[in-house]
Amino acid sequence: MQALERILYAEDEADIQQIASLALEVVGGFTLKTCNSGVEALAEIESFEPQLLLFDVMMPDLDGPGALAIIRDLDAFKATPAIFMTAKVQPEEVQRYLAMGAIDVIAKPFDPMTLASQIQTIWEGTQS
Amino acid sequence: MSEKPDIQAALAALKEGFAKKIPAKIEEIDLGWERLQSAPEDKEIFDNLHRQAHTLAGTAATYGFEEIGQLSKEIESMLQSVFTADHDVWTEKSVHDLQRLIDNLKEGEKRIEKPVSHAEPEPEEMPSESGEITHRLIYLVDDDVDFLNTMEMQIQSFGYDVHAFSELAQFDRALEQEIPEVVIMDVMFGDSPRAGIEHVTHINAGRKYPLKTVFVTGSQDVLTRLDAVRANGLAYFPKPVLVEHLIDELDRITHKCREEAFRIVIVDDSVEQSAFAALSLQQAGMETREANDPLQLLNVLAEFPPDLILMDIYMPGCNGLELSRVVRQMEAYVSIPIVFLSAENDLKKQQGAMNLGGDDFLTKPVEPWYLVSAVTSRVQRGRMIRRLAETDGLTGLLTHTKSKERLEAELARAKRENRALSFAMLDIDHFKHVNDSYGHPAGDRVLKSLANMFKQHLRPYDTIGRYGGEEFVVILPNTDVRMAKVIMDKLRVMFSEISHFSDGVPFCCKFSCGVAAYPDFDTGAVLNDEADKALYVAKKGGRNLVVTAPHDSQDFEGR
Repeated sequence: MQALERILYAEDEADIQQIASLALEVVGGFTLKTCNSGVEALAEIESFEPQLLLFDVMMPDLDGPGALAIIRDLDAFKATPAIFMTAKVQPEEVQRYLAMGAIDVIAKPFDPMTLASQIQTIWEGTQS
Repeated sequence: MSEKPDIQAALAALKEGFAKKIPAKIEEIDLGWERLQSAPEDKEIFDNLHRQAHTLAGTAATYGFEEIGQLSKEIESMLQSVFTADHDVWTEKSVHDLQRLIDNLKEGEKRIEKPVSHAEPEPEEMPSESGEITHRLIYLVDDDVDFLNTMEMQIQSFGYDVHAFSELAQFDRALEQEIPEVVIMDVMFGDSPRAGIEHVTHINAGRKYPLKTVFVTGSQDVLTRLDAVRANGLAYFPKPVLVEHLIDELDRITHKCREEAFRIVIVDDSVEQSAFAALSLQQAGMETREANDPLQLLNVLAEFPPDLILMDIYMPGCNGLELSRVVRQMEAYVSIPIVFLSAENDLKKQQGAMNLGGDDFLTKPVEPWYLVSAVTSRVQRGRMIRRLAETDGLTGLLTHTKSKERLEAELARAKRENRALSFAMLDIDHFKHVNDSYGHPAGDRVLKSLANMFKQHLRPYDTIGRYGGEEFVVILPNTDVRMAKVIMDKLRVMFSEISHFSDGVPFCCKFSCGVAAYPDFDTGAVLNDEADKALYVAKKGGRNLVVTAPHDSQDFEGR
């Protein structure tokens, strides 16, 4: 199994960015590229070569689902697993996000102490 | 684990920084609300306010300020429901309710020095408190190495991740790394007759929540049992331990964490009223569907079989009392609790509601906490009764009849949402041979281990049923036939690798499987037939196979 190291993370809210960075870099030990919007994520993706995408759903300019749709057209990242983060976790919403090609949805608020292991588990699910 | 103090310190610092920003954020929301009241039609002001509430809802609770997060979420939902209502946008009531929420938010700000926090320094509690348990970790502690080895393998065959320790010191070190879901602890170590109990008592003294512990012992002494109870032991098994009893207990303990959300259907002609009830229930973690046109109720029920129906009494076209009679006349819905919700407080009418098949009566306005607790207790009782009637006693899976009903419901939903659905039928290979060679108890353990493995590896919204004997079915919503084959093949390989035991002798079992999918086939009966045919082909083709039914079922004829 390939170990998860590089996560491309897009979130417009600075407060959430901070705590998620702590959760993923310090607690989880991942290498994180943090972007403020979907547009920024598109600009970074080719040089950073992420193994996993972690996108907030609601962002100005280009939202998470919008960014993912564009990324899916890039040959190198067609199959890169994507996770959405959102406060709307009604089952219909989750289904909708999964239909857009996300492999999982993480609810906000999240627990900063277990976010990394949650993502690790999702990652392991994609590797078997 | 040595970096933990730093993480806690960093978290605390972040939290402190965030706390300082909360008053400004709340002031922004308050200001936005003032602006909106003077210009209720202004979409930009509305959007701004909505976004601010949404953001604060997500961030505040993540930082551990749950009250602020919760209130912001309510404000957001309230704005959302005003926005989606297509008539009479701002009513006096919605203005009043929103004002009350915003006042509460401003009040809540004064209490932010005391966050109720999952970010507080108690990291080892996270697995059990967040409910995010990813694998079913069991620590097994016993100085009897033979017992340890056989138990470890046997419990593993039921899908648990077992770590075995023959010394208490090893167990202590493991606890520092990770807290398991359940500890299975021997009572006696070496010459010390109650060392296991004393050890657990000592560990629990330093913890906020006791370890979930099951004791095993060679002694039947009543005082020892009493000590085990005092040490928060959840169960007590005398040796020799029957593994199926132990597994039942482990399933029971670990199941609590992953019970499906309660499903509630709300029938109310008022969009606003039903949205309010839905919101209250959703915030308690329940799933809801609203039927604002009472005549649509049967369609809603067919696609979303609920645990309970919450019904308004006075509705245009068809009142709640009549509607409950219609529901009760349908066999599938006879046992669903119906709770009436109405401003009516005339006792005679309430009595009438009961006679017509309602189970209870709540008078509006209902406080959200009361609604949640009234619904919770009825759903829990209803589920327990249904579980006895609808599930197979051995495996806990749905019965034949119930599986078929669920297939119809899931199929209706798949059609409505225009999604694929797969139906798999499987049968354990040469199961008669297992019963004949190893005895029926061993056969039962095989059935149970298959059920456990499936429950553990399929998604919570997949359905698993026992059709009878050694035949099982799986319903996979939103899964096309290709994906279903991949999933079932994975399960097939995993199952074939499990070691089962009969008197310490290991043996393996395999299964064959047939899969049919919607939209290739579009009724429950045809899916059932086609999966059955595919299963037959798998058996003919040498067993231990997954076969998918082709679009054109003529393909089978030639074989």
